[in-house]
Amino acid sequence: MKKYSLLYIMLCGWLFGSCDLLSPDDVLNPNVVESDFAHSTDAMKTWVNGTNASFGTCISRFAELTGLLSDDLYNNSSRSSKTFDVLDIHYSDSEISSLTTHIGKMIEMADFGLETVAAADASTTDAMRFNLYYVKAIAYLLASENFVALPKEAQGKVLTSSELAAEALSVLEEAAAVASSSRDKALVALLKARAYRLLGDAAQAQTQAQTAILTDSLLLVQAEFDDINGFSNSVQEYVSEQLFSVLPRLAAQAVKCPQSGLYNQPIAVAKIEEAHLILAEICVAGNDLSAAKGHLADLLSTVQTRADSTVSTLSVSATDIAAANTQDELYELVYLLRQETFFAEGRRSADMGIRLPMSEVEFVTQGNLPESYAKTLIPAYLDSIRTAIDARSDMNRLMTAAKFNLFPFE
Amino acid sequence: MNKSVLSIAVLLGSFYSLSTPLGASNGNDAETADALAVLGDHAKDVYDLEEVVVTGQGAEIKKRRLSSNVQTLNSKQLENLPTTRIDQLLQTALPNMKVNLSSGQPGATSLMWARGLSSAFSNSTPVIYVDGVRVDNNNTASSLTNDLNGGNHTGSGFAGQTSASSSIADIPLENIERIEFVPGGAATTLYGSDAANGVIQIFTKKGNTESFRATIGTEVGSEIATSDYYYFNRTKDLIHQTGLFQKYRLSMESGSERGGWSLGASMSHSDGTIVANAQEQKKYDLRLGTHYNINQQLEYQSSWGAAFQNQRYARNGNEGLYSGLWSIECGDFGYADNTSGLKTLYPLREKDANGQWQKIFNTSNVDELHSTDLARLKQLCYDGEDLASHTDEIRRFQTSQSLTYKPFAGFIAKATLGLDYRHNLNKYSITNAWLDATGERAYLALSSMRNFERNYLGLTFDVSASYNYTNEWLSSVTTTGYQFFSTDDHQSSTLGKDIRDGQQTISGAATKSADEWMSYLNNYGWFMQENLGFLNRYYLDLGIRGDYNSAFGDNVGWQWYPKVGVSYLLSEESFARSLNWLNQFRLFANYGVAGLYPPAFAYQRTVDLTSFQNSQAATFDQYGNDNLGPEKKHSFEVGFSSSWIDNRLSLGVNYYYALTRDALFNVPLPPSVGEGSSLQNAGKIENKGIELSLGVHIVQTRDWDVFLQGSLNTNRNKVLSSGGATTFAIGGFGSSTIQSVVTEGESVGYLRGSRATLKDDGSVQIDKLQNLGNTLPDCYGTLALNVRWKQLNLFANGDYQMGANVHSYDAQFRFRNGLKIANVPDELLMALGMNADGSNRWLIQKNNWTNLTNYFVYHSDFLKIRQVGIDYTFRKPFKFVQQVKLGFTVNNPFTITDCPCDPEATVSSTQTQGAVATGGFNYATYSAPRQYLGSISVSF
Repeated sequence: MKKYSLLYIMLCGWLFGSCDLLSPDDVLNPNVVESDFAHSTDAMKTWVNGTNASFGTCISRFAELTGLLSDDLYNNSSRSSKTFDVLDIHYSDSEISSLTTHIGKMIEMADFGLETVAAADASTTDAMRFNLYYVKAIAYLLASENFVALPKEAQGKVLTSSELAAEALSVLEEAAAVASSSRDKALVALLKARAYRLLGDAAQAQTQAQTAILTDSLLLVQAEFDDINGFSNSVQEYVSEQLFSVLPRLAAQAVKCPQSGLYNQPIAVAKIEEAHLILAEICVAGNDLSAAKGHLADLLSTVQTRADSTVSTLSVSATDIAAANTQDELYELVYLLRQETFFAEGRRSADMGIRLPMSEVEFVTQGNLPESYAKTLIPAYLDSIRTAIDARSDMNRLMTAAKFNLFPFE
Repeated sequence: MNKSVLSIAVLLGSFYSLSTPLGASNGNDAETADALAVLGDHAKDVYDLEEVVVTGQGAEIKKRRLSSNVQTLNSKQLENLPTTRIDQLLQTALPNMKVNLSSGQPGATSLMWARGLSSAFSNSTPVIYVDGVRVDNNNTASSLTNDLNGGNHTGSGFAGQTSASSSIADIPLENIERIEFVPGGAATTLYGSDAANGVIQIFTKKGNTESFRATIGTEVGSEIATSDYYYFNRTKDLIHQTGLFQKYRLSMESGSERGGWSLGASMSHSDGTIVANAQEQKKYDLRLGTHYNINQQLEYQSSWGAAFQNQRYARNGNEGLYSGLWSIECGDFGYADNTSGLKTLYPLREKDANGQWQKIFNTSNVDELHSTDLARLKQLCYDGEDLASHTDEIRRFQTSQSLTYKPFAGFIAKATLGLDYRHNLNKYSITNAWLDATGERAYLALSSMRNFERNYLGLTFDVSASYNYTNEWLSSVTTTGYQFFSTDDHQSSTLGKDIRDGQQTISGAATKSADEWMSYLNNYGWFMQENLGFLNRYYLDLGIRGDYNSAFGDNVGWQWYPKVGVSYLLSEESFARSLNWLNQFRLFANYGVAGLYPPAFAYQRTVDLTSFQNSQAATFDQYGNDNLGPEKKHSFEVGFSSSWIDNRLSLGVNYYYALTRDALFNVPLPPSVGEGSSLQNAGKIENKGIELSLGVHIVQTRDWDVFLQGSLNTNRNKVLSSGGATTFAIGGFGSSTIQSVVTEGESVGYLRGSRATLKDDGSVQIDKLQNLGNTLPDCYGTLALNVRWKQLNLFANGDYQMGANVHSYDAQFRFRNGLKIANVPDELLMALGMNADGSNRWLIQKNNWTNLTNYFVYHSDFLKIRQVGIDYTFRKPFKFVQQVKLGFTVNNPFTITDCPCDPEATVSSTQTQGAVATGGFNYATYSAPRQYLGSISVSF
């Protein structure tokens, strides 16, 4: 019997060995788990590329929706917002959650790249870091320009519009540390100028704007697209296909949204024209009218030198500039030129003074926030004409009349 | 013949139960048959307490011990039912389940539920087992073919919901011995995180212990399209044809003391009822089952099944571009007014002398066409189906192997191992000839072909042991077991654009693109059950299951599901035994928890990889949730089953209350997180109602048996909490048109759209995002009648529902195209600006077409008679021939409903593969055709 026992034991041993073949496979995972991603080859390069892809979509969405808020665009027959045209905005709207999710995404993607991926990927370069920094800075600037208040980071402290501009400045300092080319340095300066403008700091805004012009006189940084892969410029589609109507006096500017089979037209996020406009605005506020006219003339010649109508197209002529002689006329002209320069770039509604609320989910989750964060800030002069923010109102004139509540520089 | 001996023999050996069509006998011995006929249902206990069931019990348990109801169907009952697919088979046979086929297209998905919808996230289709092996029960479109825009490989997506082919439609149906069904709840606790929707178990024949027997049968007949709901008179003639249906079956079985085998095979062909055979279907089914007694203690059983199916789809309405039913019924093929700007309408077009695309027909109303135009349209409708093709090829294999070990009295151990493999190749091509014939070339420049391939492999392994102990006053059945299953679903899709007509593969296409998707998960667990019986009439049932699924989040471990139940046989009490009008009365109550696991990998935080400017780009993808676990349905049930007056009347009533806790919802994240939503176990859903089944032998004599049965089920479904999720859509189109949505405080999937009301002062009030009605019925059930006179058998069965609603997009589009819709009052249109003479009807209707959605939502109450048939059995007509049966059946003969569209044929429209569906949208969906079939079967 002993030898049979041995045989049985051996048999059991063999059979146990086969358990391996019978046990279920490790779960085959088709996804890339976040924690594994950072350690993969070229993770930082891929992440930066992804951030830029999402950045394009973010800018396009802002241009589309804030364009509707303003007098620039009107939703004719597209599937975009029907309520933004008449300033019918509630903090529970899907448009609000969409815009604030884009901002949150840009900040979080930049942070993930700069903290986690950069640390794990040795092939990270300064240029990649710079790319993420400026995306993050622009996200804060978008937040500051368009919202009453938003969190600093995922479920983080909620900052007001001015605090968000200050946050952008600190990010720009970090960006400056890794800026190498003159384009990069000019970009930092221009964005700082924009931030200082929002804070009402005329002196700093002036310095930075001048630095930007001296560093790169044709600065142009754009958000880019790739329609075939699903990253398309929605404003280009809606304007070129006439699903959006354009304010009649801006008809010439519509050339920035050309018709095309693929909607890949880049959108400028920082161009040197802005520096000239900021300088002009400061001079008008300081009642230095001839200097202001000088800056506006510089603007016109910059646009001429650039010679790319899809980047900037102006209808205002040198004659119009020469004909403006009072402070009010020049204010109006600055605002008209801002409108024309930034057409389809999503800057107009901020100029008009509209500030959007936080989204309901964010507001409720954060808790203990002032009621004003949940409400749209609509300046008094707009309140009575909500449904007529189009050709029926001469918006720049109205803005000039309301200037003491509206323009950043005293 | 000793009647009592025979009756005991029948009792012990029979599997008759609740819904027994009569005239069903073994047919092997005339004398026995006659005797049985005399005994009739005296012998057949309608709630046969001695019958053993397996589902949800781990091992075989007699029905008397159960603290719940298990519905069983045997092979005789299944004989006359339409045997094309299992869900259609069960439509009228299971009293407590609702089955609605979403369309008449072959392989269409179905909506199946019992006791309401327990989830607002996952599909309600029950789990299906065949011989103990879990099989693919996908009843929604697949991941790579589910494009809600009805993408027709022109732009964003691949083909839309026409590719929603249900895996249930090709489960081989030959050789079924028995089907058991339990609704989700205490009865499915032992399945763990899998079966909150209920379980359907199919058992196949394994051979007899007698001599060789064989049956050959054939069914031949014609199929005619159901055109009852068409708006125009000419639609049927333009797009339909009468089709030939034929089916041939063979079954054989044999055996001895030692073992046996059983073989069932069938092949069928249907031309389909759409012109150019555009819904043609061919099926080959095969099953072999065997059992072999290795010795006194060991028995080996096996089952092998295969199904081969080829079918074609006609173009479905939501595919976009020209599609027969949509274009004709919605007046889409030409419009009266030449105003442009309606980019989404595609009339049939041709090029004029200047090379400009012009519409061919000048009216939206096909009934008004002149005969030459009509002839041309008819040819176009034919070409529209003939020149494009959409085909499905399915190859399916199933096998189950089991070993039973009985070492000593009272102890049984059983091990089962099996798999289900399903391969599906779907080819969808749009040819150049089609583009030119329909004029769709104006919109879509290039021909194309898309291949979609899906491979599914499901593995199941389980082992269980049970021990029976009995003495005079106590009986105990203790069962324990271990179960494992895995599912592996792999899909790929390739698209070739600009391809020559006639090519069968995409290799010659000018451009090719591809995509891939996969999902894998496994689930395993232990269970234990103790069933105690006192004095053969008081039973206590306790069970527990511990379960783990690889789809659970990292922080979620084993889940525990308990159950407890009681069963009390009141009729066994001494006072009750003396009541000879009461044959059986069983009271039962139970409480148990059943689960539904989340989708594979949904718990992970992932990165999405795409391409951007010719380089790889990575962005945030799924936010993930480490706490992701199963939904848990806590259900309580109390009721009774009874039979009266010599078993002539059977009645069962029970009340159920089910609360799904930790219901899965996509809860929106605060935007600062930068991602949209995260799947969380955040909500609560409630279902409650009554289930009632009644069966009565109105007449029961030696020659006659008239048996009527019916069921009534009520359901109140409510989302008690959505865990912070805002209202979201589970089906439908856009928020400005119509969607089925989920909101706290309402029933899952109610219809939401605009409502226009004509006020007393003559003005019109338009409110958006209104609740236009539920899509889930609050009352439904089945009806069946069987009349037997000697060897002649007449039967009819049907099902009904009440309290639900359906939206007809067809009617809304006819409205948009300027046709007068009966239930939209002219006063309302005039208040919106229509002239008194109706001259600008088209313009007013076009401008307001999404404002009056409430006028296109109809009550979908119906009573559908699914089958009416008659058959006659000749016993021993010739030497060697045991029986010849002749029959004639009409399938889908008629419907009683007020609904102007088919209340059942509704696009199921799910958000993702395996997602919840409630139907409710009638969007140019074909109804199931009428079939007139004659059958002959000969048994040897």
